[in-house]
Amino acid sequence: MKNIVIIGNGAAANSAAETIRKHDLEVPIVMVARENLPEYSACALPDCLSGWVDRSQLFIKQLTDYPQMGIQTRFGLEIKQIDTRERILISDQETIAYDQLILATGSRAIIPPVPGRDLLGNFVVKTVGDIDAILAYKARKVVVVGSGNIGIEVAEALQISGCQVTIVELMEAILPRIFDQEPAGRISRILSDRGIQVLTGERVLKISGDQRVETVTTDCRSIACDTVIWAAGVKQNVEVASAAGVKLGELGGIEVNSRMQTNIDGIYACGDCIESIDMLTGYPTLSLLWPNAKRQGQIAALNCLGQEMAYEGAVSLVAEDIYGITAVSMGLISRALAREEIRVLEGQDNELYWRVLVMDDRIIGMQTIGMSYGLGAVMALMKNRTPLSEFHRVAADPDLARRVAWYLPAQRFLQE
Amino acid sequence: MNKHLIIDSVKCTGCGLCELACAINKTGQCQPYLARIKIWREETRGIFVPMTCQHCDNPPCASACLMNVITKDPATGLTIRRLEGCIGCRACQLACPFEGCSYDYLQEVIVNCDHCGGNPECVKYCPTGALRYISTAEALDLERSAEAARRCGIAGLVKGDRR
Amino acid sequence: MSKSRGYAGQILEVNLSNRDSKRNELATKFCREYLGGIGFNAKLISDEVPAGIDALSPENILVFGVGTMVGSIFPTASRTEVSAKSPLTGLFGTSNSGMFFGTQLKNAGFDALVIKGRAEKPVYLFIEDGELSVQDASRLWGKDSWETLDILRKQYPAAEVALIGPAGENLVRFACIENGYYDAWARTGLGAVMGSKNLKAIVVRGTQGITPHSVEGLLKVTGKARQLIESSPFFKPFKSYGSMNAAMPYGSFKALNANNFSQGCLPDWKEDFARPKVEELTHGHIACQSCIIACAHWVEIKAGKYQGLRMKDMEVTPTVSFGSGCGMSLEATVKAAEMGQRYGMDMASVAGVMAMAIELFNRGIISQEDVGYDLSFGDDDAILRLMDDIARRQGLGAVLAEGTMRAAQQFAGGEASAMHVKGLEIPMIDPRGRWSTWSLGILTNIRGGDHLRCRNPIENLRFNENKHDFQKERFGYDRKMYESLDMPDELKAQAIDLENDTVDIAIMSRWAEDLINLFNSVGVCIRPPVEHRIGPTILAEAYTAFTGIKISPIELMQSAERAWNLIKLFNLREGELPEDSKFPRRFYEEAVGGKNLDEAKVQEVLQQYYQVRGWDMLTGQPGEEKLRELGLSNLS
Repeated sequence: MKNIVIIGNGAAANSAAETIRKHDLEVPIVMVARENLPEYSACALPDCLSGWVDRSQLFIKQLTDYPQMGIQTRFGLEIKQIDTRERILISDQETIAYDQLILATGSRAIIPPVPGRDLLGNFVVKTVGDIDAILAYKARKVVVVGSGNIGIEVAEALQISGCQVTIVELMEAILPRIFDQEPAGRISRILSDRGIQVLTGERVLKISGDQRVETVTTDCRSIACDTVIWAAGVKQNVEVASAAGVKLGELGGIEVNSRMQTNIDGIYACGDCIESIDMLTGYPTLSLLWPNAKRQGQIAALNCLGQEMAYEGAVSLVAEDIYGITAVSMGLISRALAREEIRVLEGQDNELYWRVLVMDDRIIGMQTIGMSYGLGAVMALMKNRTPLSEFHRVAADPDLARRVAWYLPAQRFLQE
Repeated sequence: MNKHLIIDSVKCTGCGLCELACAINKTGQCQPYLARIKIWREETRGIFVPMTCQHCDNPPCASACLMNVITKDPATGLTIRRLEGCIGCRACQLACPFEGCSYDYLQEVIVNCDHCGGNPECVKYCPTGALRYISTAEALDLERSAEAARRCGIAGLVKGDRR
Repeated sequence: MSKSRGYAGQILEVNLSNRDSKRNELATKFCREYLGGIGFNAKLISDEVPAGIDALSPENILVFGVGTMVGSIFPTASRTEVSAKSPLTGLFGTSNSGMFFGTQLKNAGFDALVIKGRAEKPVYLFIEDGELSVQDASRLWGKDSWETLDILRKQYPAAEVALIGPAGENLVRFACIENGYYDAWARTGLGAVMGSKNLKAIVVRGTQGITPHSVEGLLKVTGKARQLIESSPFFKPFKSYGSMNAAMPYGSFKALNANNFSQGCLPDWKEDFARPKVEELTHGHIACQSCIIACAHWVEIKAGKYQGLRMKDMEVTPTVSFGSGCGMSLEATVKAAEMGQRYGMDMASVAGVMAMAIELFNRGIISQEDVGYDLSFGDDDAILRLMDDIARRQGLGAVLAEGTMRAAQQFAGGEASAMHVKGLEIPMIDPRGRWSTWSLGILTNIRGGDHLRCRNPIENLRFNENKHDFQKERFGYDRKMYESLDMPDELKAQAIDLENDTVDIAIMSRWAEDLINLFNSVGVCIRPPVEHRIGPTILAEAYTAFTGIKISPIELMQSAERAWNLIKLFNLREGELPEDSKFPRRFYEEAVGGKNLDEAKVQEVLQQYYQVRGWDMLTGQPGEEKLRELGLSNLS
C-alpha cells in the first residue's frame, strides 16, 4: 500500500498527520523528525522559562500517541537527502521510501555572524532543548538581541525569574514586524516599567568574554552580561529540499501552490518552511504562525489524499501577553503597506488601546493593547473582506444588526 | 448536533439572568463576568443580544489554538476544550466573532458553553423565551415560519414580536 | 476576593474635600440590624449627618446603599437606595433605582458608597474592583447627562454610571441622580446634593463576583420566588404593560393628578392615553438586573413633531405627571421625559412645580412678564420651554427650581396651588378619587408626598368605593388571594376582614411600609407582582441562603421597621412637625368627581396608623416602648 511520509513534527506536520488519519484509517503514515520528542507547542516555550507553563505542559502529544493513531515514527533522525526519482529519503542511519511526501521541516533560529557568538552563554529559543539549556545555565544578566514576539516573551520570562534584562533591537521600535510604532512604544513602556532596559536602533557588534559571555558591545555602548539570547529571526529549513530540486520562492521559503504542492510531483510542503499567499494582499509571505501552519497542514493532507482543497491564504494573528496585558496584532501593519493608502482608526478607553488600519474601505490590520470584547468580530470582518460602508449600513439598522449580531461589538472600533 | 441553543434577541430584555445562572452553575459564584453566555447591551438602541459559543462546524477557535486543546465532540457536535492543556493565551478568543470564548480567571483558562450536558441553565432561567434549547427539526421549522412571516410582511403580527 | 458571603463585605467612604478614602468592614451585627440598602443608609446618615445642617453644604453625606440580594440571582434583585438629607424637604432624602449599578458596585467589592465633603473642582469617581480614583470632571461639567454618558461610556465601556445633569449642577432642588441613560434616583433632590459636592459622576466597574453562602439554597429559593411571582394575578398585566396598568383604572376613578389636582381626570384622558395608543409607541420590554417582569418599555416615535425620539420610557409616574398633571400630549410626555433625563430632574417634581406655575398663571398671580411667555395646561411647547428654564434657572425657572413649597412662598396666595406634602411634590394619584392604603401612604411616607413607599400588596384596582369612613378599603378577592399573602396570620386576620371584605388601612399601611422598606433594604423591586407574593418568609430564606446569616422573617421585618423608625427620628430631629402630615388644603376643601377628603376622618386614620406603629397618637413621635423593642432607645 502506498504510504505518506511527513518530515517534521511541529504544528503543520501533526495537523497533516491528524487530518490524513481522520479521512483515511488505512494509509500508512511515517513521521520523521530530528528531535526525539513528541509534538510540543513552540509558542509556549518562553512561558516555560518563567515557570508559568510547566515543561510537561508543553507537550501536546505523548510518544505513545503516535502508534495509537497508526503513525510510525522515525524521531531522532536527520534526513540528509531526498531522492525524488526513487522516492526515498536518505539519512545516515537508514533510507525511507515514500509515495507521497509532506515537507514540514519548519524553521530554525539564526545567530548573525557576530564575533563571540560561539562563547558559552549564547542561546536561541526555538526548541525544548534550547529551554533546557537556558534553564541549566542559570542566567543572571541577560541581553536579548531582537525584539520579535519570541524576544519580548523571553525577556519578560527571564525578568520575572529574577534576571536583569536588556533588549537590543536594530530597528527604531520593538516588535517591528508585528506592531506599528505607536503601539510598539506603549508596549516598550510596559517593559521598561518592569525594569527591562529597552534599546532600539542599536546594532550588536560583538560579544566578548573569556570562554563565557561577559560583554555585549553595540554601536552605542557596552553591556556587561553573562547571557545572550538571540531572537533575531529565523531561517526556513529548506536546504535538503532545495538540493533535491524543490523550488524556492523569492523570500527563501519553499514555493507551493494553493494546494500546498511543490514543483515536484508527490511532494507537498506546509508550515514555517513555505512561502504562502497573504490572504489580505495576495502577495507571498513567510507566515511563521501556529494557526496558519495548522491550516496548511490540513490542506496539504487533504490534497495528498486526492481531495482538492485550496488554501485561503495566510493571515497574521499574534497575541502577546506582556505582564498580564494582552497585545494583539492581526492582519498587516503600516510598514507593510503603502502609507498614503491607509486610513487609521485609533482610539483608547480604560480597557484597550486600538489601532485599525483600513485600505480600500476594508479592514487590513488591527493592533490592540489591553483585552476587550469585539476583537474577534473585527478579525472576522477583516478575513471576510467586508467593506466598512456595508458594515456601517448593517450595524446602524437595528433590525439588520440583530441578524448579524456579531457585528455589534465591533462597532466602537470602526467609528470614523 | 441534535439540539441547539437558539437565541431570539427580539425577546431579550437584557435582564442578565442567563449570565448569572451560567456563572453560578459553572463557578459557584454570582459573577456575570465569568458567564459563558453574555448579553451584548446597547441600551440607547434598545438592543439586547445574548452571545455565546455557536459550536461552529469548523470552529475558528480550534484552528487558532496554540495548544490544540479545542476539538469537536463527535457524539454531541459540541466544541469542547481539554482545559488541562489550556495556557490561557486567548488566541481562540480573538478568532471567535461571536464572543463565544470567555476567560475564567479562577482557573486561568478560556472556557466556552457546553450546553450544561444537555440541560442548559441559561435556558431554564430565561424569562422571555429569548433562549430556547430545541432540536434541529424544530429549529428549522422556526426559521421557516419566521422567513415565511417576513416574506408575507406580517412579521409584526408574530406573537411577542412587535418590532 | 472577600471572605464574606452574599455581602461584598466593605463600605467605601470617600471624602471629596481632602480626597481621603477608607474601607470599613461590615460587621455581622450591623448587617443583621440594617440588612443593606435603605437600612444601611438610614443608620449611616442618622449617625453621621450633623443636626440642622444645610443639605447643600459639605457636611451632608450622600450614601449609595446596595440591596443585600443584589448581584444574586433572586428575581428582581437589582435595587440600590441613595440617601442624604434632602435639599427639597429638609428631611431624610432617599430614592431607589434598579438597573445594573448596584450589581457592579457590589462586584467591585462594596455594599455601600459613602460620599462626604465637597471637591474643590468638578470631579468624578472611578471605582474598579476595589480601587478608587478621583478624576477631573471639568470637561464634563455643563454637559447634559446623555452627552456625559456618551463620553464616559466610550472611556469605560463596560461600566455603570451614576451621574447628574445640568439641573444637579445648578442645584435645582429636585435634581436627580441619573442611573445610566434612562433611570434615576429621582425623588427628594439627591442630584443637587451631588452637585453641591462638585461630583459629576460615579463610574463603577466590578468583576470580582459575590460568593453565595449556599448555592443550592439560593437556587432553590430563587426558583420558589420566581414561581410565586409568576403565579400572581398581577404578573401578566405587568409583564405586558408595565406600570401603565394603573393609568386607566385611576382615570376612571377620577383619581389622577389632572391639571394640578384640579379635575381627577382630564376629559380626553381615556382616548389620548388609551393602551393601543401607548402601545403604538412601545416596542419591546427592558429589564433591570435579574428581573423576570421587564416592566419598562422601549419607545420610538416614528412620526410627527417628535419623530426620531427613542428611549426607554412610558413608566406611569412621568407619563401621568406630564400627561395628566400638566395636560401634555402623549408624544410630548416622551419629549419631556427625554428632557428630564438629559437635565437630570425628578419628573414628578418638575411636573408638579410646573403645574403649580400654570395654575398660578391662570389665577393671574404669575404674569406673562414673569415667565416671558404664556403658560397653559396642555401647551406642550410652553411647558417644555419652562422645563428648560427651570433646569437652567433662567427667569421664573430660578424660582421654580427651588421646588413647589419654596416657590409657592414667593407668590401671594401661592400656597393654595402648591401640591406637596412636607415639601415633596405629590405625583400621579389623587387621594380624593380613591382613598386607600396607597393614599394614606402619601401622608405617612418618610420622604414626603410620594406614593412609592406604601402600597397595599393586594390592592384591588377593580373597586373604588369608600363606605367605611376612610378606615377601610375594599378587599375584593377570594380566600385564595388572602392565603397567598405572606403575612403573619394574626396580623393578616387583623388587617383583612374576609367577612366584610375589607382591608384596614392603618394596619395595612404599616405592614406595607415595612414590607417595602424591607424590599428597599434587600434590593428587591416593589412592583405589584413582587410585593404581592414575596414576603418576609421567602426573603428570610433567601437572605440566609445568600449571606449565611441566620435570620427569621420576624427579625427581617423588624430590621425594616428599625430603619423606618430611625428615619422618622431623623426627620423629627430635622424639624418635622405633626402638622406637616397634611394634604394640601384643596384635598379637603375642593371636590373632584364629587369627592373630597374629610379632614377629621383622615386625621383619625393617621392617629390609628401612629398607634399601630407604636408612635404617639398626636405627635407621631416613636414611643419609648417601640424604640426599646427596636434597640433604638438611646436615640429618642
